[in-house]
Amino acid sequence: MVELFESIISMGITASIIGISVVLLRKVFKKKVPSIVFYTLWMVFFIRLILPVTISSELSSFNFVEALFDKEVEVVSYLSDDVQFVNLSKINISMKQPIETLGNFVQGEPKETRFPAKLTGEILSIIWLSGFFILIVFTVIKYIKVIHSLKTATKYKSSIVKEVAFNLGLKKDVKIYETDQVVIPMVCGLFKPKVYLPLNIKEEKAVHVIAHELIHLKRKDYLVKLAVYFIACIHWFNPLVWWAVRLLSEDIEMSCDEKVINVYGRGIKQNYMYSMLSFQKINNKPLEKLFLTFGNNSLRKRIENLLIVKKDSVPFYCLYCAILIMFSITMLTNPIKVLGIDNPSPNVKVSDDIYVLNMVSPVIDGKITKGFNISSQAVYHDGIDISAREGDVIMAVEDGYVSYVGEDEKYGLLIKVTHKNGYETWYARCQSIKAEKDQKVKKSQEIGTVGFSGTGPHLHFSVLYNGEFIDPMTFLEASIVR
Amino acid sequence: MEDSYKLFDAEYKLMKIIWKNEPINSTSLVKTCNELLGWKKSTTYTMLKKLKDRNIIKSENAIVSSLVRIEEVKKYESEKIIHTTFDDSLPRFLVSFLDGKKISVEEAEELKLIIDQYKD
Repeated sequence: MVELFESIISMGITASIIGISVVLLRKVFKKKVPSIVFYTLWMVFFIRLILPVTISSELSSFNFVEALFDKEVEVVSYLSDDVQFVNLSKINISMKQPIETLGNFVQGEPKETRFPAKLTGEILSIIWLSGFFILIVFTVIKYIKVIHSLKTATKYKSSIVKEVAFNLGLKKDVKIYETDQVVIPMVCGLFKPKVYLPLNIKEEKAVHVIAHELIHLKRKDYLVKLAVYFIACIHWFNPLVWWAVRLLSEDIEMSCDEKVINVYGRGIKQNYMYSMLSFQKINNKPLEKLFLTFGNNSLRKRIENLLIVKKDSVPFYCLYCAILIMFSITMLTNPIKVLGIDNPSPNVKVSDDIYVLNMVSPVIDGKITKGFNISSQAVYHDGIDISAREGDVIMAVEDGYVSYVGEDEKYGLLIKVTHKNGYETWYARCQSIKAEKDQKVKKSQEIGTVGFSGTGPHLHFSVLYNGEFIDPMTFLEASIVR
Repeated sequence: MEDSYKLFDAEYKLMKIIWKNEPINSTSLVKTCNELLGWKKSTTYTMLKKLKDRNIIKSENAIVSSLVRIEEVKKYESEKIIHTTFDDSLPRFLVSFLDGKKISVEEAEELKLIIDQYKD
């Protein structure tokens, strides 16, 4: 469950980048581009929210994002109250794989964590899961209530239904019902969706309204909205997702309005807007008015949207399609770059990669007596020496597998452990070896004991990245090894 | 007394069919309701039971007939019903013509003015 929660978080972070791009695009182009374009862009966002594994592509915009975040950027994470500062470059990389453990994720200031990180992760995922279930249960109850109250709706008989259906090119027999249970026309139902109208609509208004609702029906907007709502329930803790649901709802309705105007011609625009206004409920209670006037009025936005004439000729549509395809490719695919290929120089401090080797100290109580230096032959030392008591336990610093055990001329009794993403750690000058070749080892698992050589009992510890020695201190905080 | 004869639109429509055709066999009533109102069998029976419980109709040996006259019933005003079902706003997972939120009188006036001024 913790893993699930973690992948939800990482998908949420990835998708948020798309979400913000859509919000920005929408801000800039809303007045020029048909709303259907944003409708589709939102789909990319919502798919990304639940798509854990994706095709890698060189075109992926996350390649650029990665480059962008190469500088260390501190962000406030909404994940936990205890640990706030998380290196964004770390998050960024972890998009490629679900975060290892929440412990890694919040590694920044371990001392400030009140609970062990793993426990915090578990608590958080339980909170998340219960929140999700509560939301779903409430939604289902509400849905059943709505369906139930609509059961007694009666067939709406009018010649205009067939007329509108014909104009919209609907072949199937459409079902339109009227009922006193609704004041606003709407579509409801999963498998057999129906249009529900309030009672006593005047015919000239009914044409607009039925056309609008039948377009919803034809495009399966009712299913889209339900699916999107479900995804939002999964990401309930992410405010951006709820904001996106609202903006998407607006875009769905606006694109529906635009379609009606397209089919019936601009001549009906004014009357269509009057129809919208006539269904709007008006509030007279003075107290509530205070809250209502404060923004958030989708009717105003939709009317303003209709007042603008958007270009929708064929070449423009081709342009929109091209933009859409590009957006989808760049946003739905993952970066192809394997970690570190762009950083071939291992001498440079590779702070981005810390998460890969989120090491524990190889010995419990040690002191660094000699540092790493490969700048010249004279002072060459391809690892660090950690002095400890003879016979002390040597532990694997990270998960991996034992790739070599044996006696080496230069290193004495040597263990090599291979980790993910091109990392390798060497444990030299051992007294004994407690692991076999090809054996899988966990972080902190005992693999050998400290031996005595030359200057005294110590462990010679090296870290290799893509076959080249790098400074282990990049990963080992001095405070960890005392 | 008068209150018990208040009917929802659906009930009223069903009653109209009953008044027109009574006494009517319940099987053929189900058929008629399906044709005219688009109701499923279960919906019709549920409605009949509700009306029977309120002594608006009676049903003997599957023959349905009314106990009240058309002059005696009144319909509910629709505003009152909505508040119970949708808590004044539409659930977010529905697609609808509007989002169900209310606006103030001033805002409505302002919007009307905007539309009035619109010329293509």
